[in-house]
Amino acid sequence: MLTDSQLQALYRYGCTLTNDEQLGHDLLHDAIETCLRQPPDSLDKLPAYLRKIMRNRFFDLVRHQQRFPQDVLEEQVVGIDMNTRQLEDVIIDEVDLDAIWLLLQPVEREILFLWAIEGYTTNEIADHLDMPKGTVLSKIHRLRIRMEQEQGGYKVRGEVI
Amino acid sequence: MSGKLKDRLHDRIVKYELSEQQLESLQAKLRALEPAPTRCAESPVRSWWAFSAVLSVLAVFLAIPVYMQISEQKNSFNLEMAQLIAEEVVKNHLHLKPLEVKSNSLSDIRRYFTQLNFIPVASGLVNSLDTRLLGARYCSLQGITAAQLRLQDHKGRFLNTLYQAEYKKEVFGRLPDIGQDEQPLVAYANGIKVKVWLERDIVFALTEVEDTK
Repeated sequence: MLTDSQLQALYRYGCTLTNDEQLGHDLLHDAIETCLRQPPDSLDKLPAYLRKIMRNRFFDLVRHQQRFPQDVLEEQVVGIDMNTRQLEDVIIDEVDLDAIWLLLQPVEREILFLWAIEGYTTNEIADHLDMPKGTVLSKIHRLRIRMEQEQGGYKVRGEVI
Repeated sequence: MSGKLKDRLHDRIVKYELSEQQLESLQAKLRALEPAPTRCAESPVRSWWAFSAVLSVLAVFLAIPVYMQISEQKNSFNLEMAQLIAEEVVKNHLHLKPLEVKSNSLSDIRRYFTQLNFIPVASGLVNSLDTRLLGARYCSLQGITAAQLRLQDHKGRFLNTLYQAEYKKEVFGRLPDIGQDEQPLVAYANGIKVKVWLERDIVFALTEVEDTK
């Protein structure tokens, strides 16, 4: 079935999406309930299946409650060399990250989670989010700019690759 | 302290951690997804029994003394298993892990345990004690999925733990069946008395914290 560490990872994903420990737990709990009603074809796919349910449920709720503005999913940025390596160079301290974290949209937190915790590449993030790769790259680019603006300029080692 | 964004994110996100109780509760829910253990197909079993019957007849005629000795051993109760069960039960009894279902109704408890190969039953031996049911949780006994029921005496002075598990002879060996007027085995672990018996084809293990007053 699921190991404790797999459950912890799903919980962290839920907390990242919701930015709240209780809501993160509720999201995971609801996903398990849904899974009991509609089990996956194979239990090997259970972690990915649960995460998909959590994501769908969360964004359904968000859209329903209209707490957050909808993302424009079709945006494309062409001609700018961007990838997750842009984020690798960002230097930040704990307090600043806490402050910025609160300002990020759920999908931005999700991108950061998939990149930093799961170690996903840009392509894998795009697949997971079911977004065009260009959209993900655009979001990464704006994420970096936003961090610089919010913080009054982050220290970046070297040039953007 | 400044550092790479990835490291800072990692530090921040791993702070989110489910408590042991939350983990256990979610794991209990997930157990409902586990496929029920499948029993052996009929035909191979029948073939095996037929084969065994032939062997038994041969054994009777060719090796009666040996057969008698083996039968005698099989009829003796599995004291070693009773001790192993006592040690396992007492360990869990002392830890008092959180109950997954809280109710004093056996019907509620039965409704909760959907993943057992048996239905938890009331035992004549336990009914004679002056206790009430507090709730239950999934557990295992010698690797067999089991129901752990928590009981408390009516004055709230002491707790008892009652295990019920599917009887598998290959695991538990021969245990006394109180339906056959046999007496439960008694073993001690950490100073706690544990009774082990078979009743309605279910293995029971009960910690008995006795009232010293």
